[in-house]
Amino acid sequence: MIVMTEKNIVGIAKVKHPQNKPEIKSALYNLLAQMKTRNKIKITPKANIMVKPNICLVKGYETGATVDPFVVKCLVDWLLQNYDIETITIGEADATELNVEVAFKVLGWEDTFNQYPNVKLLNLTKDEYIDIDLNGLYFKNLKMSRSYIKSDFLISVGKLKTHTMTGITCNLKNLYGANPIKNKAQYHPYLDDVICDLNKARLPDLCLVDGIIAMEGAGPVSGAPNPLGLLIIGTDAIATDHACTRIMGFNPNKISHLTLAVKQKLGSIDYEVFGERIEDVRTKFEFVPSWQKIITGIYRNKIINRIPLWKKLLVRIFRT
Amino acid sequence: MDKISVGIVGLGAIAKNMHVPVLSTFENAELKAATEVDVKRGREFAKKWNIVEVYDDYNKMYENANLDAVFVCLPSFLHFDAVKSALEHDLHVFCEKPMGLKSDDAYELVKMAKKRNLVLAVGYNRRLEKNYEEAAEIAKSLRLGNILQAHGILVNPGPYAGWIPSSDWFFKDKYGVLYDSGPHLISIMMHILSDPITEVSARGISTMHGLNVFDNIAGVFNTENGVVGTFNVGWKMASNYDSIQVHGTGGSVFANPLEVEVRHGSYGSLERVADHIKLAKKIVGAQVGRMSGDKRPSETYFREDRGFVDAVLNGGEPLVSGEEGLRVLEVLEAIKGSVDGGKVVEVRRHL
Repeated sequence: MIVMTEKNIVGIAKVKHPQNKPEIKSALYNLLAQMKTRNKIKITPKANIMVKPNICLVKGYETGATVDPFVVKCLVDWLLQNYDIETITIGEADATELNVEVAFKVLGWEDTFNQYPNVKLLNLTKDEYIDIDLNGLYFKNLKMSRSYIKSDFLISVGKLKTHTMTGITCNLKNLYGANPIKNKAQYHPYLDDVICDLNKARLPDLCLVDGIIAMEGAGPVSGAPNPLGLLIIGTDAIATDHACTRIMGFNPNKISHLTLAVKQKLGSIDYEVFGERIEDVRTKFEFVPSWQKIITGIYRNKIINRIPLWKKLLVRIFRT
Repeated sequence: MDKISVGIVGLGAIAKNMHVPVLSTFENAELKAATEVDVKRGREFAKKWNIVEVYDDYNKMYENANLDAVFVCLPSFLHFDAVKSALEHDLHVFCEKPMGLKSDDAYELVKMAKKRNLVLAVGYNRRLEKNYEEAAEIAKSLRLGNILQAHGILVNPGPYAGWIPSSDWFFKDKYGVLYDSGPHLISIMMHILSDPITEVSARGISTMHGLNVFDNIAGVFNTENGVVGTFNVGWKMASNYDSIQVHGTGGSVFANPLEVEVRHGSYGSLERVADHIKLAKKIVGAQVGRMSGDKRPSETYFREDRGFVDAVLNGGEPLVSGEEGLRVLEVLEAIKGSVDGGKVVEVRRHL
């Protein structure tokens, strides 16, 4: 018997003027409407929705490091207009150099959402935890935010940017940030495994990538802003990230966490593109300087990492 | 028209060393006449450059030389009258910086040029430096994120120490360095930021004994888009130096005529090592460059003169327009007010 599986889709929209808010809103609404028409957004009535944006540190969206709260506002507005929703929670966890509450304030998330009665901002690190038997590549079991794991519909809002250690960020790496542990730097030598585990813990139902102001070079926090004006959407983190990798001008087969996620069957690279064609929006992102890649290679080497002094020195250099 | 006839008003250093040699290389510009109060000195120079007619009064030249355009290269305090008269004679005008000493005067010139459909350009060649143009492009590209601070400095030894002026006119105006180096610096900064300066607070010192002239002025400014910044102009320094820094949430740009550098993110020990290597390469490169001994006028003079001639011939905009010259004077006037009154002064805008 042949089982027909539904093919993934990835939508791409380009705005001409990355600072033009109405243009961004219109482009995102159009992408979401097309996803809805294609029956790719399956939200049950009275759903509790979790939105996980990438807010890796207290740097504004204009730097290319974090998601623009305006993009999430447009997403929230569209969801509220189109579905019967109980609550929308915007959740991010503390990280080595991130205090989520400060980020919500300083980066304008509080100002953006304080007028929404059924939208709340949540520090996933401070939420009630739930134990998950994961049997993953790195974690055998994991404590995660209950609101995050038990949400009816999980939306990952990643950022289109390079990453010194993983090559790219986008969605798979964004969900790595949902781990409520603050000291995430401890996982850096095992990033690919940990990324896959965090995705396995809760697969996203919708993936959006904010590439309006992307980041190239020494990402995820020290790179250069690139005003690309792109929004990328999909139901599958692997498909969406695969498309994003191609848009950035990189070879997806060389992004090790992406290829590992494919092997782990966390999604599929078989997808169709709607909206803009990848060939038309493809660019050539500046990648991490080669000397940094060598250092990163050493940093990620599991044997060298057992030497405490090396680790301390390299953590000082790459405080990401 | 495929060629314009050009007259030079004032054969001082800037005309002799820069504009005349530059214009003489253009096929579509004929250096036809010049004005110089010291006619004997003027004739000697004119002969060398095949300038046929030399006048002792620019009005006589405007009336009789059958010109299309003039380059006003007089001391700053004489700019307004010379430019106004040229415009009244329906001549296109390139005015050396600044475009007079008062913004009201500059506004009058801008209005006149517009009404008569004449090209009015100002000689802010330093903002045409390749590296400053590149810095302006970077700042406009959103690659610096939100720009929060900008800092500019332009210092040099000053008249008689760094260069020999034709007369003492540099010391006739109390604000000295402000109308000498100030116009260049403000022009460069406003160009890079693409953001008008709205208010300033400035202080000055005068260390020129016996002369009541400010030789060093420093200040703080705010712009329309909320940038805060500083500016520093000075004479009597041992060396020439000018540079601009613009800092944003997504990156910083550091520019001077020799280099432009963009930094994003953290600046750790490894970046410093990389910088030292780059610096060593630059030092070697600069030494090799110095050995070539090229004494031609800087490329920026070619660009501004070419831009003006093209605008006259083709009806476009010059690289630095009269409006831009006016905006610089408005800021200089506010700085002047702040230096005098010791208060924050709002920039009074005409357009």
